[in-house]
Amino acid sequence: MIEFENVGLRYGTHPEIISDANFSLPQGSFHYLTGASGAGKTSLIRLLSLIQPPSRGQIRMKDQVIMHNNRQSLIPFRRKIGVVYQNARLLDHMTVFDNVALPLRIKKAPNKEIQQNVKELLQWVGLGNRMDFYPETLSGGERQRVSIARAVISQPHLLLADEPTGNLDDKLSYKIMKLFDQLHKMGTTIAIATHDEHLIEAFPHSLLRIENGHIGLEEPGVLNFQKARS
Amino acid sequence: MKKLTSYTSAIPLKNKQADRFMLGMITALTILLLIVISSALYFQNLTAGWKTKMDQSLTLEIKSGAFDADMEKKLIQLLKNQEAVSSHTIEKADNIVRVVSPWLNLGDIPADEISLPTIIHVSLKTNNEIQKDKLIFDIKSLSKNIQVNSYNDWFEQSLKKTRFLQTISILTALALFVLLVMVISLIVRDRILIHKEVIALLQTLGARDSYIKGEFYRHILTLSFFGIGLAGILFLCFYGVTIVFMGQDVSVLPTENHGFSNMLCTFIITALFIFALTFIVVRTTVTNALQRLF
Repeated sequence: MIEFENVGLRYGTHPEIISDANFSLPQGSFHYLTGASGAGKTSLIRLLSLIQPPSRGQIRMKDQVIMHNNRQSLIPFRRKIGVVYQNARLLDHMTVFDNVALPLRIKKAPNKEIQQNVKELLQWVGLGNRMDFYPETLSGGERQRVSIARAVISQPHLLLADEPTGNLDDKLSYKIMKLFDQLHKMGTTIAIATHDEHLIEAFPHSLLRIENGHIGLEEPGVLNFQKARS
Repeated sequence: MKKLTSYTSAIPLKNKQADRFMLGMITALTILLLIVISSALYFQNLTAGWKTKMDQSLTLEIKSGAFDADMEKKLIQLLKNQEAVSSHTIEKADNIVRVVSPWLNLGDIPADEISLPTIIHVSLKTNNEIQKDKLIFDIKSLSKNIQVNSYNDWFEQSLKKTRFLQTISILTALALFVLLVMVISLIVRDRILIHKEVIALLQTLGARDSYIKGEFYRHILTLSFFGIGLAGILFLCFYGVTIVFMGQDVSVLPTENHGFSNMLCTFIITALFIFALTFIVVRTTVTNALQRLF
């Protein structure tokens, strides 16, 4: 699905925050991106979502090398990626319906398709009765569910989430993770940046741990959270 | 259900204060541009009209008492024999008195008691300078008492003043043009910076530059449309006022004969120009900002 080859990332003249990243996320896989606070989880999500160009190395998606210097050539790849943010990043001047419909409108999908898909998806995330509400009137969990609906409306091949449960209580976090689990079962490749060990234990999947800029793969059952905390 | 199908702009560009300012600027600049262009055209047409009239006429002034029967016969004969001459009229003494009396305080003195020059207006068929010079030479050869006035000096001076006014108008129009470009560019750049996060989000969602530009076009060109419309209404009022105060024959707008159609033409050209200018400035500014910031 997506492959990193000797990828390094530095901001300005600072030392590399990610060094020699060599890994791939196969089609249909589920990975957690974990590490201590400030380890570079968000930077890795930005690299994976093709928003941040790497300082060195190559990123391949579907066996095609990503050329970051040509912004317009990135668009078809970005449309295959859905991103969920910790603070949801909804557009407050638009209704829930319009927020979720946005990726389809950007793709100039037919209005009939937009109506049908958005309604179905909002029903699926349990917000069928909140379509014409504005985001500021929703709770944190509802906002995050809208954000997930927006990220998956255009059926992305890769779904990225940056601390999607960071602002939610355990019960809501569990509900949100159930949604991700369902999407994974439908075949979506998922990568979630989190440092919530309870969730990782509750929904065990492979782990990409970032430590001192280096990324290591850990399979479920060999987790060492003390390492992450240090 | 209506709410679900209604289109909402993805970038919240609406801002009452900034929109009013921009609308006001576009309206003001459009109307000023219309007035400047109209005035420049008017002066151009006016001077062109003067030039045509003056190139095709001469005024002969013969000293009082010098215009005897012999001179009249010779002069008329000369004018009749000249191909360049279309017609001539001898100004009546009463008319001359009526024209000059307010300045000379002549009161009720009869015309025949005042020492008046004889004035002859000569209309020419052509404005060919060589033929005109030959005619003037022949007339002056008849008598040293005949003074030929082609108003050239006066016209050249008037022309200089008109050209100066035209230059000022063009410079003002250029200054307004630059100001309009700067205002639109600054406002667009300001909006891009304010909504930088939203634009970044749209790009994450797969929006192309054309989609983001489209949001700006929609908003700013709508404002331009209303600004130009408002300027058109104000300009029409200005046009009406000039006709009321100055009379239709001296309309301040393009030509005396086709004032309204030319006004409409000036408006349409100016409106299209402002619209195109707005489009180009928005396009350039957004393109540059997207390349620089994202």
